[in-house]
Amino acid sequence: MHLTASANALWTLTFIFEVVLCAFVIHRRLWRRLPLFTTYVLFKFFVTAALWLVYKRFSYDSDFARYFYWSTQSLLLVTRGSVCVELCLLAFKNRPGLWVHAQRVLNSVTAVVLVYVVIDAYRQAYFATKIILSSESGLELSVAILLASFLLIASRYRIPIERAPSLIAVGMCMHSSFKVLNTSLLKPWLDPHFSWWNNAQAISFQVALVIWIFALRRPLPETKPAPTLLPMGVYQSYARLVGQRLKDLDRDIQEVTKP
Amino acid sequence: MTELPVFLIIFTVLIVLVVWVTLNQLAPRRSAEKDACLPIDLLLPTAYLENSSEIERLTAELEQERTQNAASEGFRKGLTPARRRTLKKLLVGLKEDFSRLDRLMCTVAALAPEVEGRQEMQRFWLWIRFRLHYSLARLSLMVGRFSQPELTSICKLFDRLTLRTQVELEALEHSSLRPLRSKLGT
Repeated sequence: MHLTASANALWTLTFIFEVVLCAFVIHRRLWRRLPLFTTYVLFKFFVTAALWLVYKRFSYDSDFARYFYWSTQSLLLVTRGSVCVELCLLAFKNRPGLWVHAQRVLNSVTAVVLVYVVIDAYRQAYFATKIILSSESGLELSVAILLASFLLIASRYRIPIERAPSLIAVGMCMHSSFKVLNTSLLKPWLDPHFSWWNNAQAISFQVALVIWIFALRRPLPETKPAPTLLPMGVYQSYARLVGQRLKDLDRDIQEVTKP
Repeated sequence: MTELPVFLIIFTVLIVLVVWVTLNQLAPRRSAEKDACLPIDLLLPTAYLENSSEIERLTAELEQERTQNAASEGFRKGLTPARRRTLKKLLVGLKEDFSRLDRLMCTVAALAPEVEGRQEMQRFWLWIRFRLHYSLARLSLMVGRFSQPELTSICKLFDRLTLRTQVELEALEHSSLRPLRSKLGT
């Protein structure tokens, strides 16, 4: 069995986008700023090319193609996870106080999602393929939630993130969210009715690729110097004062709702 | 079957969050360092003070109606559009004060060498609670739930707040907070 014409067309388009992205990554010397993202992009490019050759040589539904696909997917998932960590470190590296707090929140969120992944995989204990699928979608879910939480924390604390890393995070989060939705629900539900749905995942990755190309289309700005941190006692003094003021305001607005 | 709506909700929430955060990130804004240099006086909630004359007028109006009503069983106006506008301004003022203080604290936390996780979580929880109460108050105002006695008690509340803030502003001049002002370079 071979790939359909639409799948072939999408594959070619993905390959072109990946070539463009790799060119941008090399031209901008991105490995100096984001070495793990660079690794991911280059690795993804090689996987796409190799998978194409494997499908041509051994056919789409051969055992070798299946094993090759799943082993590369797991490696890609690991590199995607490490890109998340890299983006978090890049944003919070100059904020030692906040980083400890953010780390705790992000670790807790990820741990909760991973527990869900384990439970979900355990429920499928007798179906090896389902374990792989549910683990994959669960790990994608943890990547999506981790990135969304990271962006939320950065936005709440107004941590300035450069345009390129923030768009990279957005692209990755969108792609992971779509993969979760596609693998867990839409594919099993809609696949019997809409044969083209299988291609939707490829399109979601193309959207992410376009976002990343857009992020790298301009030269990256110079790295800003680390901000000067406040003296040790200031946070404590402010926290006590502002905390009390905020509580007062909350009490005031409660009085308005219950006069 | 129940998984589909749950996952659709998760997906929608994630996408909305990502879009909202992206728009927030890309929008031009003051730098966190500049925010940390705000004068210490801004720790006091004062946005609603801008409307203090209006609230005084409304209090006087309500008081007049109350006395007239007691004397002659007269007509009560209740929540007129003008009064609704005044109360809305007051609520928005409270929200602005809350947001400003919360933002200031976030900025301080972002630039602090050490942050207390428990306090940050408490403040985040308070922010959620405040937003809920604010939305509830706006909704009550929109549907015109407030009656005459309730309006009077809200006006009295704002009178109390105004008085409290004025006292605190005066006290600030002599308080121990002054050293903080110099630490923040103002």
